[in-house]
Amino acid sequence: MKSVLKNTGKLTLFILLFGFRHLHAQDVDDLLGELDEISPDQAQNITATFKSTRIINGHSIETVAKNHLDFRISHRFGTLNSGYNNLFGLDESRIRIGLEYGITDDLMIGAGRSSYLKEYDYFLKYRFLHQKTKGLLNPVTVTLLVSVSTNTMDTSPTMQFFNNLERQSYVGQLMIARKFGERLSLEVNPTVVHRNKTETPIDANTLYAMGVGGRLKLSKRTTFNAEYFYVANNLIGNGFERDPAFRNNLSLGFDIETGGHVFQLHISNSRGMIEKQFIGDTQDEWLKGGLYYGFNISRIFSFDKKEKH
Amino acid sequence: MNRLIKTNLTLLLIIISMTGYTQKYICKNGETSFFSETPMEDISALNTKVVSLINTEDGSLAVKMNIIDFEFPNKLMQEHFNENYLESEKYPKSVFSGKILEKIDFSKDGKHKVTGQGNIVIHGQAQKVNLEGTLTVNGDQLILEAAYLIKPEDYNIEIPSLVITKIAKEISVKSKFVYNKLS
Repeated sequence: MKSVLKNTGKLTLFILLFGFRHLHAQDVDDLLGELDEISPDQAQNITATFKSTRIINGHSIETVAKNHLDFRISHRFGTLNSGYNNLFGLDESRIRIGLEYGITDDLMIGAGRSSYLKEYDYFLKYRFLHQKTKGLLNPVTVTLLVSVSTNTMDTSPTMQFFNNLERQSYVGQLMIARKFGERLSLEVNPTVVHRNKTETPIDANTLYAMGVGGRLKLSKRTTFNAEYFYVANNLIGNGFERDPAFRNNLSLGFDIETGGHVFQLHISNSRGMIEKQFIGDTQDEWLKGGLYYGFNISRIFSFDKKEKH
Repeated sequence: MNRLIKTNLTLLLIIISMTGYTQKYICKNGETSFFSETPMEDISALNTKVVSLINTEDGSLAVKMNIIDFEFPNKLMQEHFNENYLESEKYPKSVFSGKILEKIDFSKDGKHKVTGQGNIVIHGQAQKVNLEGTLTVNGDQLILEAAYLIKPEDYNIEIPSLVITKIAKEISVKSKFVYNKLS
């Protein structure tokens, strides 16, 4: 009997304490605090590091979202130093038309055709690491690009092709970017470009380049972008040297976003708009006015089911 | 001796009945959607990760959601919503804390019209609101449904003149929360 009584007493005491804890009138803010305890804030993926899948010529870490199609028109006029007769470059133009599609939110494929060298390009781009809003893990976003391009110019005395394999070039690139707060995003792009046949016979077939790029937000819808690709072959030396006719590519520009479009306006010393061309074939120099002004227009279409909620 | 046991038991009963009253209910996968309709463009988004708590003792209610969890059919809109309008990196969440004004008998099944009075925080701006909805008591489950209008300008959400015809002055918002007893 005594032990039962003892137990009941303990139980009562326990329930009393437990009960009083609950009886204590709760403030609504305590309820929000309790909600935070039950469901703590999770680290989220950082989004919108760049406004577009390109910084200028080179790729950014961004990919097109699942079931979305990006229709891109990239356009470069002639060089600024091409004289009055050429209206300082406006008479000439090179264009790349591209269709790029998101298979998942992190995996995209794309194909394009550049009028420069009549070159087709196909690429696959996969983002495998997301920068997170908090925590020390994942300080950067990392995306991988693999691309193949085919030169379809007629064979000519200056550029003779003996078979189709010689027309192919390959690119592998890692994009590593971090968004430093709302305004500044920086990216580095270690890149390898391999040309089965080079434009000039004394150029190295395989190029090792390091790209650096970034954007600075000027307002919610405009950014200033810069990008530089350094080809490091001459540092390696020993038969890896480049033809001295070729230059590194520097580009400066602005992104302007208007609803469904992103307009990218820029100047660059490269005429080409794909990795193989702007890393491999750039011959013009900034200081001599060998500058191409140009723009990219990106229009995104959603093929997601138009659900209404 | 017997009397002592009796008192104890009575106390126990009273307290059990009291703790019954102070039961809290939780909803972990609540839904909140919004819809903006203009002749130019319809915009809609759905968040299915809203969390909420109800304290049935005093009718207090708390709701929390992450802005980034709103899913749009058009991902570009979603990006702009987060980056340009709600600025979700600066203001990652939206909360409501308030009270259900009506006295509801949570022990009986039934459907009640309710008013939730309290503070809503969107885009870092707090506003006092009265939200109307229905609360259904269904055994151990509570279902809270509400529909209300939100004006972006009340929450300092800037809409540029370029897209002013594409975004409604008042956005209609719907919520549905299904609660279970918090153990």
